[in-house]
Amino acid sequence: MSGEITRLLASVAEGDEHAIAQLFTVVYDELRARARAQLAGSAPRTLGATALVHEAYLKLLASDSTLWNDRTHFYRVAARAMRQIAIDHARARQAARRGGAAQQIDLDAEQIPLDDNAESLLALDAALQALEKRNDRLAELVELRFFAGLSVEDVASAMSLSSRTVKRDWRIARAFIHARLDPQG
Amino acid sequence: MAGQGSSLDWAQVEQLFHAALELPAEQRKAFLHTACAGNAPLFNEMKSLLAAEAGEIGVLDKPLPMDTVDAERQGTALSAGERIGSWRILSELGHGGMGIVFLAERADGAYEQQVALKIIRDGLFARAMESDFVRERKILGRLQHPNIARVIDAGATIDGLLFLVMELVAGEPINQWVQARQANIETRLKLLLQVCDALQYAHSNLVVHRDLKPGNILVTGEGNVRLLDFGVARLLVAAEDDVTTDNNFLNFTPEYAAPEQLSSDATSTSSDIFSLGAVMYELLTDQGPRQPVADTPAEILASLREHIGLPSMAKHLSAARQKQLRGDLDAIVRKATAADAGERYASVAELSEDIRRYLGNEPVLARSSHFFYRSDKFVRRHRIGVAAMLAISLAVAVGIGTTIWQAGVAAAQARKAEAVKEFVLSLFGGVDPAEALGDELTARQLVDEGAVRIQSELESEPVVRGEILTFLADMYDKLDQDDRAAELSRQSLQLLSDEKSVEYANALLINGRIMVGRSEDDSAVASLQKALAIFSRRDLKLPAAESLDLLAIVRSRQGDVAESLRLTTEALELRIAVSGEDNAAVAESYNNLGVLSRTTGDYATARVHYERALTIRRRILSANHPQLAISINNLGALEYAEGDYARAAGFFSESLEINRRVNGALHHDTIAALNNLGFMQMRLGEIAAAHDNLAAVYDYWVQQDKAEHPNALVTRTNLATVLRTAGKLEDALAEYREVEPLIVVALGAEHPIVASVLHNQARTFLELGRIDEAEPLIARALATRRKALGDDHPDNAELFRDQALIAYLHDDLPIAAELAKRALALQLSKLPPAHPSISATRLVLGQIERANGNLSGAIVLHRAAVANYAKLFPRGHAELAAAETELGQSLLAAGVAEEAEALFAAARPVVADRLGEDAWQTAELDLHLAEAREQLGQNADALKASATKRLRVGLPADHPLQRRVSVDDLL
Repeated sequence: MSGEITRLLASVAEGDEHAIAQLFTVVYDELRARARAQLAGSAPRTLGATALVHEAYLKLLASDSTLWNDRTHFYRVAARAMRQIAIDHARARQAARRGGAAQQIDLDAEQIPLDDNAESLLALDAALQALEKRNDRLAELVELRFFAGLSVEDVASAMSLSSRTVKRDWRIARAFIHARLDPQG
Repeated sequence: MAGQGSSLDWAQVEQLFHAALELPAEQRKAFLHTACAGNAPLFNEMKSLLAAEAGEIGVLDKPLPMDTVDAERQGTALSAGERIGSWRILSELGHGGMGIVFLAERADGAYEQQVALKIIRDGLFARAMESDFVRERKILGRLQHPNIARVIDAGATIDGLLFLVMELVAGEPINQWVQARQANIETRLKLLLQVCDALQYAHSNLVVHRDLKPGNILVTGEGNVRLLDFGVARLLVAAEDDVTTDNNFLNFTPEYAAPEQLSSDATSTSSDIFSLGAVMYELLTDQGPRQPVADTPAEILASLREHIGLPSMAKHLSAARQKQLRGDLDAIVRKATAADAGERYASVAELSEDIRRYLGNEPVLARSSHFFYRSDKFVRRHRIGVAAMLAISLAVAVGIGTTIWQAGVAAAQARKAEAVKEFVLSLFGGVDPAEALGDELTARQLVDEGAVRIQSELESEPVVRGEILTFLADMYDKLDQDDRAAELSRQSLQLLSDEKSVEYANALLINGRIMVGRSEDDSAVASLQKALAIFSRRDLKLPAAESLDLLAIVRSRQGDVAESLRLTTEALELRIAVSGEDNAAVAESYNNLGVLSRTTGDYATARVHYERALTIRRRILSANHPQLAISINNLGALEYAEGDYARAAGFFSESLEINRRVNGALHHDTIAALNNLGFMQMRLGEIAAAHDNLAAVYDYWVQQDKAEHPNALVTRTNLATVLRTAGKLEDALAEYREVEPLIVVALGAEHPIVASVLHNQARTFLELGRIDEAEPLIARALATRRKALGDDHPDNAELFRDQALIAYLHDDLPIAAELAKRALALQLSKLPPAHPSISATRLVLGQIERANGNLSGAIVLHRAAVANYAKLFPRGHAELAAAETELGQSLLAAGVAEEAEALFAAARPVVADRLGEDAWQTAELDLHLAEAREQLGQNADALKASATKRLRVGLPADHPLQRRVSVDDLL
C-alpha cells in the first residue's frame, strides 16, 4: 500500500492530474474505513475527525521514508477527501432526517438549542465553494485547517507560505465563511 | 449576498479587509465609508465580513465533529447503580448547561462522602489522560480554598464520556438565598466579599472561573459561600482538542458573560471581574443583569452584544433603595462591568477593597478620578491585535500587587502598573483568536510565552521588565519549575537597580522563596534579610511578615528554633496589626508557633498556640477545611506527646473524619490520620480497632506499591506492636526482626526509628523472659538514640528504665536504682507530670525500693503509677494490670494482704487473657495470689504448687526468677 502511495505522491509532485484522482480515492477510502471502524467500536474510539487524517497518514505512509514535500501533497489531498466525506455524510443524514422525526434532546432553561451539523456543513460547503471562486488559496486553507486539522505552521509548510500570511488569510477566510453561514450584518 | 459578492473585486475586498483590521474598531466604519464611497455592494460586503470577523464562535472555530463523518451516535443515558470510573451513580441531581449532574459515591467505599458527578455534555474525548485536560485538572485539584468546592476526580468513562467529580455542596444559589431572607445590603456585600476571596485566590493560581453566575455560587446553611465549577469551562477547553461535539455549545452563561467572551475572544481574569459585577448587580437589585430574549446562541449573543453594558440599576429599585445604591455601589458595579476590559478593576483585590471601603464608609476608588488613569501610550505601544482590548492583571493580583495597594496611587506607579498589566494581559490576549482556533492557553504556556517575550520587550522600561520577570519567576516557582524560576529571579534582581525600591524588595522576597524551596539557605537568608529591611522601612507589613516567615523556615531547618520562634512571632504581630486575628495567615502563624514550641518541648505554650489557630480556623473556615484537620491533628499529636492517649485519639479521629470528607479515604493526609488514630488505639489497648486501622494504612502503602516506604515500615512496626499488645509475643518478634533491616535500608542505621524497633524487640524479649537477648538490643537502641536525638532526649529514659529493670532482675540493686533515678530525673525535666512513661519508671523504681526493703517508698511510687494509669487507660489494659500487680506485691510485702489479694485477683484474668494460662506471668501472678491468701489464713497450697510448676516451665532456665522460685521451694 505505502509503495503505491509513494508512487502516486511522486506523480502528483510531477503534476499528474490522474495521480491526484487516484490518490484521492485511496485516501478517501482509507479515511472512511477508519471513521466507520471507530464509530462502530471496532477500533479504539480515541480520535476526533481531523485526527483521522493524521492516523491515515501514518498508516499509509509511515513505513516509507517520505519527504516533507510528499507529505504536503498527501495532506492537501486528504483535506479535500475529508471535506468530501463530511459533505457526503451530511447529505445522507439530511435525506434520512427528512424521512423521519428529528431526534430531540431535552433542553432546560440554561441550555441553548443545538445546531444542526448536517445543515451547517452543507452551508459550509456552499460557502467554501463561493470562496473558492474568489481565491482558491483561501478555500484550500480552510480545508487544511478545518478538515485536516493542520496547525498554522503545518498549513504554512504545506502551502509554501509564511505563518504570518496563513494567519492573515485565515482571518478573512473565516470571516467570509461565517458571514455566509450566519448572515446578520 | 453571495450573488452580489461575486461581482465585486475580491482583491480589493481582501485589501480593504486587512487595512480595516489595522484600525481601532471605532474608526473602521468611517474608513469604509470613505474607501467604499459610491460602491454600496462593496460597503455591505465589508461590513458583513468585519462583523463576522469579530463575531461569535462559528463553525470553523470548533473541531470538525466526529459524527459528521459517519454514523450517528446515541445520546447516553445513565441510571442509578451504574459505575463511572470508580464512582457509583445514586440518582440524578439535575441537568444544567454543561451536562447532567448525578449524586454519586465511591463504588469501592474508599470515600465515604457523597459527591456531585457531572457528565460533561455528551462529548467524546480522547487521550484525556495525556492531554492538557490532565494538567488543567491538576491545577484545579490544587485549588484549596474554603469558598471553593473542590474538584475531586475527573476522567473518562469506558465509553469515552468526560466526567468530573466535585465536592457536593448543600446550599442555595446566592440570589435565591438573599431574596428568601430579605437580606440587607450589608449581608449581601459580605457574601460578595467571600466570592471575591475565592476568585482572588484562584486568579493568583492562574485559574479563571469563566462561568461565574448565581447558580454557581451557593450559600451553605452556615452562611458560607461556595463557588462551584471553578475553571470547569476551561477544563473543557483543555480537552477540546480531543472532544468531538455535537453542537455549538457555549462554555459560559451569556447573561453574565463579559463582552469579550461573547465575541469569542480569549477570556481572562477580567472576564471574571465582569461576571462578578453582573452578579453584584443582581444581588443589589434582585434582577438579572440582562434578559436576552432569543432562542439560538447566535441570537442571544447578537442581542447581548448590542446591549453590552448593563441597564441602570435604578430602574429596578424602590426610591429608598435607589438612594442607597446611587453613588458608590453604582460606581462599583459600573467599574466592574465596564464594556472595555481596560476600564474594569485591574484585579479582584481592587474590587473587594472597594466593597470593604463602602462597608467602612470610606470613599471608594471606583469614583476617584485618578484611579482611571490609563496610559494610552503604553496601550498603544503594546497593543497586540484586537485581543489586546482585554485587560487583566494577574500581576496585580499576585506578587507585584503591593505597588497598587499603596494609597495615593502616584501617577508614575499607576503608569508602571498599567504597563505590567498590559504585558500580562497580552499573554492572555496576545494570541490571535484565529490562531487559537478555540484553543486556550494553559498556565504553563502563558508563563512560557511571557518568559520568551520579556527578553525582547520593554527594553526601555527596566523596572517594569524587572517586575514582570519577578512575576514570571514566582509563577514558575508555583508551577514547580524552580530552575527556570531561579534564573528569571536572578535576571529580575539585576534589572531592578534601585536597591531601596519596593520592586526590588518584592524581587528579593520572591528570590528568597525560590531559594528556600531549593534549600539554598545562604542565598535565601541574604535575599530575605534585604527584602525585610526595605519592607520594614516602608512599613509594608504583610510582605515583611512573609519575609519573616520564610526566614523562620530556614532558621528552624538549621536547628535555631529560638530564632525561628522570634521571627514567627514578629510575623504574627505584623499580620494582626494589619488584619486582626480572624485571618487565615494569622492562624497559620499560630500553628507554626505551636510546632516550634513543641519541638522545644514547651508543650504548654504549644497548646495555647495550637488552640488559638484552631479557634480562628473554626471561625473562618468551613467545617470541612483541610487546614482545620491539620490544627486538630497537631493538637492530637500534642496530647500524645503529653501522654493523654484518649484525648489524642479523640483529636485524631476528628481529623480523620474531616480528611475523609475532604480528601477521600485514599489521600495521604487521611492515611496519616488513620495511622495516628490506630497508634493511639494500640496504646489504649483497643487491639481490634488498632489492628483494623493500621492494617488499612499498611494496605494503602502496599497498593501504592510502596511497601518499603519509611511510613509503611513504621506502620508495619506498629502492627507488630499490636500483636505484642495482644500477647502474641513470638509473632510480634518475628515481625520486628523482618522489618528492622528494611528500616535500616530505608532510613539508615542511625535513624531514631531504628532505635525504636530495637527497643520494641527488647521489650518483647523481656516479656518472654529472655533477658540476655534483650540486653544488647537495649544497648544498641540507646547508642542509636543518643546519637540521633542527643543525651537529654526523654526517649532515652525508657531505655535507662529497662536497663534498670534488667539490673534489678539480676539483683544488682545499686546499679538498678541509679539507672531508674536517672531515667526519672530526665523524664520529670522533659515530660508533663502525668506522662505514662514516668509512671512506668516509677513502677521499676518501686520494685527496686521494695527489694531494698523500703516498703513505704515502694507503695507510694506504685500507688502513684496505678492512679495515673487508671486515668489514662481503660479497665482491663495490660499496663494497668501490670502496675496493679506491682502495687499488690508491695502491699503484700508490707502485710496489707487483703488489698493485695484483690489487686492480684483483678489483674489475673487480664494477664491470662492476654498471654495465656500457661504463661509465666500468669503463673507468677498465681503465686502472688497464693501468698496473699496464705497471709489471709486461707489454704492456697494447690494454687501455689501449680503456679510454681508453671513458672518453672514457662520461664527460660537461666531466668533470675527461677532461682527465687527454687529458694521459695526450699523454704
